[in-house]
Amino acid sequence: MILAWVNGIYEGVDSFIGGMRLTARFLVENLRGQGGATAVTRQYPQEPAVVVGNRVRGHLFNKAEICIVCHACDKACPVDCFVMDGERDENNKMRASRFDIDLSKCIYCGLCVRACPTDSLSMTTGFEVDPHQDAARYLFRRSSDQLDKHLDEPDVVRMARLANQPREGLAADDRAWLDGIVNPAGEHLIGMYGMGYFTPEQKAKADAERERKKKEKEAAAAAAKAAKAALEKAAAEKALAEKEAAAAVAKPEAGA
Amino acid sequence: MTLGPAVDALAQWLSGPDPAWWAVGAAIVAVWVLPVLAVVFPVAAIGQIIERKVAAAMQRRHGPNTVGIDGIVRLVVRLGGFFLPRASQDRLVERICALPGLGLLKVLGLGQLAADGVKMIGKEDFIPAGTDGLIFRAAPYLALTGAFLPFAVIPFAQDLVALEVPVAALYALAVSGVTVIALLMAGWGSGNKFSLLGGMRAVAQVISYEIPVGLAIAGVVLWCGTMDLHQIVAHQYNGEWYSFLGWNIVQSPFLFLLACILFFGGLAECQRTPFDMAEAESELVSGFNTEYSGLRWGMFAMAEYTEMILVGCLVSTLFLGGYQSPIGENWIITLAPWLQTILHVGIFAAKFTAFVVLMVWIRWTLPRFRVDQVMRLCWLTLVPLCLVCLFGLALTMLLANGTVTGAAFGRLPAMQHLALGPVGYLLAWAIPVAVAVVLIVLARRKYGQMHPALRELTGGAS
Repeated sequence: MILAWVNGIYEGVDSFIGGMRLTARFLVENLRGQGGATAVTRQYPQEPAVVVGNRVRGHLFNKAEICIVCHACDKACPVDCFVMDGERDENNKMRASRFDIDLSKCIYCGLCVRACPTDSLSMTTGFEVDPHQDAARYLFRRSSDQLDKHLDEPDVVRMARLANQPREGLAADDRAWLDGIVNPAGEHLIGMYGMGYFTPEQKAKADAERERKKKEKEAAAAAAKAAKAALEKAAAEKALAEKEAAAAVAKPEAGA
Repeated sequence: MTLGPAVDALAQWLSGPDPAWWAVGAAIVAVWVLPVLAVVFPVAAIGQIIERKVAAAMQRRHGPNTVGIDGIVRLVVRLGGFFLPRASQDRLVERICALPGLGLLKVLGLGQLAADGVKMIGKEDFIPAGTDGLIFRAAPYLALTGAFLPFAVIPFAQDLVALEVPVAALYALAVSGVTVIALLMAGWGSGNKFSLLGGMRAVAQVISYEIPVGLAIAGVVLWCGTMDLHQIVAHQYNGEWYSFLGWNIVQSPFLFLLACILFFGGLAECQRTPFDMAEAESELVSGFNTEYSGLRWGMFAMAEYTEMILVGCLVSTLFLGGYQSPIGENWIITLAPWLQTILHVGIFAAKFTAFVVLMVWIRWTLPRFRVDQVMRLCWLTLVPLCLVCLFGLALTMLLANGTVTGAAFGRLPAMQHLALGPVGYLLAWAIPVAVAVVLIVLARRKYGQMHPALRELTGGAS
């Protein structure tokens, strides 16, 4: 019995010392790497983040070209983070004139992506909410007094343009206008708004495309009209010629 | 009646050669609070940083490293320089933060202390419905009281001890038990089953571990013949340069074992891992402090770290020579008195901080015991081991059979020392160690090696 007791104490002390040696080894090894250089943790804001994989549910993105403004995402969304408006284009198809995703509300559940019938809505791998990065895509909807402010399309385009520039370089009227939209301290830039909206470049490209197609269509219509007119003219000329020929045939008969 | 040189001097300075009761009380409080404010509070605060940094290093993390001094600088500049334009304020902050040294503070994460403190103060003092109001509110104060009362008898330096009472060891043991009542009050007053379970577990565990702790202290009392902690420190005095040989822990293997038992018993008494049954979060949410938040929770956390320091103080005082340096006292005694005091306090702080680090190390090494394992360790291992050690210690003293009179530090009152002499000293170590080795060899022969899986887990240490 005494031997069992001694054995128990011995084993306890032995395993205790073994465990302490193990953690001490970890401690020394990790400290030797100069301030935690062996640490697996990334110092995220200072070091670049690791992109985990392409199935990460990050920020939402809407491809405005193929969006049909069906409001399926709006209905699926549990937190109502969508605001959208549509207009009919010349082919009588719906096209998004405004598609705002308030990413300060979004809970990244992905239900809207499942609901989307045209696959225009998708989740990107992006997750950074830093206003200084890619500022064109981060518009200003954060503080409660800003949330209900209505912004028309030209305003959004203007904001996207201004957000790309350093504040010091702005013209006086631009700055004043911006101050009316955002928090004067400029500290509410982390709000997300209009992720799927056209940037100025995208808008110019899309508008140019629309113009080109319109011109093409007009040209085609004109060509068709001209061709039709030419065809009609030819038919009329032919008919006239036939008539004249018939008349010419009939005249000698009548004369004879 | 003398209460210690510092208290007497202060009381006489306050109200003449025969000091009034209020002067004595004020002097006691002053001498007691001084080391607590100057040494224990900073170490308790830094202990949290130590804990988080050590844990991080063991787990390949960084630990606190972001909250540096720059937040405080920014706050001060914003408040003090409100008339400056914002860009100038930012430039000023950047310039101040670029000063050398501030970056190091940031890497160490020392600003985290201030941030945590501000956060705790700023939190809502939330008291849930169904709590037993007064008991719930009073418990944190009582916990803190129980943690700080024993420091009145701990000698931080030769003159820096508030109460030189003859029963100091008993007093420390008794008042530190007040914490148990606080834990039970917190558990009961919260009106929460998990809290109550945590409180009950705490009481059962702490009362059980009072016994090995008390027996370990009894061993030192037996060896030194006094309960006065200051006298016990003086008993470990050795005038040579190798003064660590005078410490209790090297006097006898039984005293060494008792030191280990006191340390682990103290670990269990301050509810630290692996003995943290009272707040086993996998079973009891957070145990007795589940319902606490803000500054009240902060008081419990503060009490925990203070108790860790208290255990370190007790082990250092009883077994490691207290405030004495390990490389002789003669070079210290020749210095100016205030320098002596500072050196002694520093040496003492180094000793008990080492124990705090050891506790942190243990916490991040060992998993939590089950309740029955905790109790079995106490009653079936530590208590019998304590009795064996006490018996062996008494036997050693009986066989050594010699006393010598000496005065420690050249000015403390003369007291009896047990003189073993070189041969007796060697025998006092050799005989128990030999018996233990024989017992262990026999036990290993009979019960075999450690289980292979266990050996693999512990890194092959056997």
